[in-house]
Amino acid sequence: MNTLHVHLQPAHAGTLESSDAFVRVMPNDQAGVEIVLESSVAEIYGDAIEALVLQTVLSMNVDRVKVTVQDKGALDFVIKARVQTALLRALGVNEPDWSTL
Amino acid sequence: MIDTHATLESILNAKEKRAQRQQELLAHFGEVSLICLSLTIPGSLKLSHSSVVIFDIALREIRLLLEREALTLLAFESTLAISGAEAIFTCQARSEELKRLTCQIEEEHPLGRFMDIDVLDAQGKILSREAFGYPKRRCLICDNEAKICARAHVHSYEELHRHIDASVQKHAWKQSIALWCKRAMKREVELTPKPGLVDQANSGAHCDMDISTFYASIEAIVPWTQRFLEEAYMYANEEPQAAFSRLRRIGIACENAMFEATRGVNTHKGMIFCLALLCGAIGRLKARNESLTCQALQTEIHVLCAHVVEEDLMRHTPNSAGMRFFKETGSLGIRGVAQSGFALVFETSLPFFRECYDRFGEENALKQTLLLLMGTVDDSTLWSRGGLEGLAFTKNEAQKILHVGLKHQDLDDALKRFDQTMIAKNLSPGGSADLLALTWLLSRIVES
Repeated sequence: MNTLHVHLQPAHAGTLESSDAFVRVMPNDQAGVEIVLESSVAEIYGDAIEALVLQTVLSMNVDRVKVTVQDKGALDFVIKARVQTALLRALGVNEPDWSTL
Repeated sequence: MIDTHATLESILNAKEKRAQRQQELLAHFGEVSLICLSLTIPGSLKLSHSSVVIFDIALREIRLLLEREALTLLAFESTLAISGAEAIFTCQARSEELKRLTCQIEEEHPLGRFMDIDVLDAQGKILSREAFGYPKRRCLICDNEAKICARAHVHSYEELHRHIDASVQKHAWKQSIALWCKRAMKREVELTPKPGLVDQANSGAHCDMDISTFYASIEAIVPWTQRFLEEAYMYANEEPQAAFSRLRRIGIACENAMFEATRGVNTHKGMIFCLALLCGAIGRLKARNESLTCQALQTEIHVLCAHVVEEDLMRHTPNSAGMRFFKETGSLGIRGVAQSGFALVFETSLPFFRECYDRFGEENALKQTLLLLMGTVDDSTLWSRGGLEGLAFTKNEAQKILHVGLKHQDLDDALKRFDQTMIAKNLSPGGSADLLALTWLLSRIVES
């Protein structure tokens, strides 16, 4: 059964180094997922990255969340991993269950 | 450990740990800037032989930069892990200045594209290249913007790694030549016995230095030999006279490094002059894809210092032994030898060394060649200590021993007696020692 996670603590993951992304997760009043993206390749890949972030958040059953991504040219699997880690930290999960990710 | 693929988790964790460490350093030291070096190696194979070489070169470049700009280094730490190589320099310097200087390394060094040199200000903010007028970084292989090329998977990891290996390989000759320069200086100082010179048995006619002073000096000089090679290669299109001025500027910095290592003793000033010219010529020839033959090297050195005699000896007021020597005796000294493209070495001492080498082996060949040089060169080091009389005595004595054609123990005995006389007369043939090292070096690196 999928439980919807709504109790979040502010958390972050990643760095602002090139080829990395810094992801911040905040609880949000409204329902849904709010994504703020700042990317050095936004013009070309902005939509694709936003879709990736949304898909990652949804697959973890998280709602009422604001996700801020500062992308410094990271590849998809890096962005995905940073979003996942930030959410797990926000949920207070210490050791990620990699099998579910 | 080397050539092991890193997991994504370990790579990402390493980045977070690095960011954390940066915060700790800034909290501890306060108003400082950080230089954080990592490498732009794509994929999971972060630690390869190529990346270790690039990392080592980058560390050296940054240290040289700090030294050159007289910036204070408060702390240094570095890691070589499967997840990659990284280093943090904590510096007392303005972050803008550090960024400007490190961008130059990224842009100008032949392997700079594989270096990622971040600069953080005291607040932990990473300064951007674009703020200093530098373009976004290009792809390792093509001319596209790096981040876009990486996202689009234009190049396979295999192709990227092949390119990195090939670039390192293309750079290898500089490190190799620098190592030969080091070996040449060691070979010369370790040759024993030598008349009047520092060797393994004694300090010759020098009371302010011994063989350990020479070892320290050699260590200090070697990084600069690479700088001669690199800059000559990079600016190979420059007019020879401008190239000579460039080499001389580096040479002065090299001299300062030597004096610092020896606490003010002149061990290798003449040698540095010879190496600057030789490495300068090598860099220019390599850039033109020409072979390092004797003739090409001699011509290039001649072209490089076509004006040195006029410039140094005719115009300036004398501030070195070589200049005073010219003023008082009219002899051109080492500058004359250099301006001829080291004709004395290429046409006389090198063929002689090779002949002796084939007949009697290296040890004997080096000793005979030293005597040949001592019997020929108008050495300002000899003159400054013993005047014209000392110079004439040394030349005669060296020629006498050489003409007897001694070998093995007999030659060593003669050299030891010569050494005692030279010490008693306070004479040292430093110029001949430099040319001996140059002869040996050329015997190793010239292509036929």
